[in-house]
Amino acid sequence: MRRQIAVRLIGLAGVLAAVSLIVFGLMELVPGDPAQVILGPYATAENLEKLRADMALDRPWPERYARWVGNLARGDLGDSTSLNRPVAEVLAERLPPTLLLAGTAFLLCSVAGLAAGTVAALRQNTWVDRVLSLAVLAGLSVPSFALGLLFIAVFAIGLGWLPAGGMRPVTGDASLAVLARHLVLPAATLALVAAGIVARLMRTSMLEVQRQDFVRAARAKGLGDWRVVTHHVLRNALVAMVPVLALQAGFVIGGAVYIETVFQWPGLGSLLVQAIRARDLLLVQGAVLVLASAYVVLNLAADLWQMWLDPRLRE
Amino acid sequence: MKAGRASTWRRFIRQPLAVAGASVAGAIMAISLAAPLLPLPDPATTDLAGRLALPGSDGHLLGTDLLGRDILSRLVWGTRTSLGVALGATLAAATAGTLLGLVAGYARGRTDWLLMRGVDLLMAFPYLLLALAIVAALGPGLGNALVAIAIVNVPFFARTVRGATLGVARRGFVDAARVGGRRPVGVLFGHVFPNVLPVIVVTMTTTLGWMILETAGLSFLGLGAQPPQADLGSMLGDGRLLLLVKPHLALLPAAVIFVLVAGLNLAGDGLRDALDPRMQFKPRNGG
Repeated sequence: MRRQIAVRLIGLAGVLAAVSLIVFGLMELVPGDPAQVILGPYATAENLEKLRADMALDRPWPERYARWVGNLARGDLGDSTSLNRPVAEVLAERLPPTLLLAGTAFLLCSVAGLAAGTVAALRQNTWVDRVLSLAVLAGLSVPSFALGLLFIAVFAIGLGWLPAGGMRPVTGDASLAVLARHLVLPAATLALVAAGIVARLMRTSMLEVQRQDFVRAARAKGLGDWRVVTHHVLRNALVAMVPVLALQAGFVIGGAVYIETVFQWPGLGSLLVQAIRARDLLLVQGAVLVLASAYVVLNLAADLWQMWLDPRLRE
Repeated sequence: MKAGRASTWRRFIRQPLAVAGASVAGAIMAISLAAPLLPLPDPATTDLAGRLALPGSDGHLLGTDLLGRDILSRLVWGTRTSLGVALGATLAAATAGTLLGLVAGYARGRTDWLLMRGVDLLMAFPYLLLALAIVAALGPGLGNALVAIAIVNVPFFARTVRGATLGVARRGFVDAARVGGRRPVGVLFGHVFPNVLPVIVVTMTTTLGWMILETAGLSFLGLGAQPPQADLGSMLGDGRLLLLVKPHLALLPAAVIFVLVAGLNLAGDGLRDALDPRMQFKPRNGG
């Protein structure tokens, strides 16, 4: 197991290096002169010259990449042109709200999806199964931002139960209860859309395990239904779900961009959209790098967790 | 060969939900294709005096938007735009992914390893995030949105096609063709490809729905369709600003997206069950 972890960690370093190369490479995709795009049409020749020198645009790309990574290691991601502040500082400020929203949504979608899939599998081909599979289909067919708007229209505007957006009121009341009220709608929207796939695959996973010989053996030795399900079927079905959940974490991270925009949640996602609209490329680069790295690390964690759960994978 | 197709068709029409989904999605596609022939007002003509007319008002079946443009007409033309981008992206992703998957699965060894690590790399990003990043670099616009969505979907096609190719390439008729002196390219496209095709078709059907959602998402954020052109996503984005007073402006395009994508998903699931790719790898042109 220890050897496996070491191998994975080296792999992680490789993937992170590749991710940084792609994020760096995005800048190369920018049509025209990046300095001109970053500073906008009203830039002075002097500023342009300075930025070109800073970015070393006249040097070959491997040299620029090395320089960029070097700065990155020192926590220097450049300055945001639209906010006039260091990118790293802005990102640090916007990361916690995203972690809160994405984390809550991920927990909700895992619990709801796994539970729904389990129930559907145990009640295969009954009306419960059919209703759940239609609900899953609906979840796969609705754009997350449209569902968010519907929730705002119904629960915030129509019924007035919950706030329509933001993370806390302008008055600055930062109590946990207030924060939780603001969190409900965006987290539920994000979770519901992601829960569909979890439920569908959990159902398949349960049905597959139920057909295995060891389940028949457990029944044959006289175990009750409940015990067979909880001790044998469920535990094995869950192992197969770990990579699915890791994928859904990626969906939640990407989906957070839309949901944060709809609910004006002050996280990295809404920041990214603002940065793209403002053509603030260094800020875009930073936000993408942080979100993608988070996903890569999560995937590794899921890998290791699955190995720990399933001894067969440790060989 | 004919019998195989006929029974696929029979298995498909025996699923009422799949048939319903295909019919609804097909009807929406047909209407949007026929948009230039339909007696609709111009979707971009503004009429500030008649703005925000309610559904059912004179001459505007679904009312007008903030600039007085006919909503029904914009929905039909917007669906056409969304579908066009989604179809274009699906075709592009399928072509690139199929080539990668075929070559990787057939060549095996180092080529396979290299190509698939490249694919893994794209999948190291959450795909919505990667699409956003690409649009951020290329700049907003429908064409760039299409490119971004196509790129992030290449890995799905590449992996699926590679898996299917691995299965087909091991079969006797492929060896026979090779021993018979056909060149690798000829074997790949003459023998392997036709047998992988059903898998590609199923993947395309199931992917089209996602593509529509992704296109709508980018346009909703203002990074896809640029005014005055509209697609379903940008209409939803515009309607969002008036959610408080005129919720139908946002809910109508949302409903069209939902019905269209749900229809496509039902049809795709039905098609997959009918074809059952796992049992489909029978040689279709044995020689």
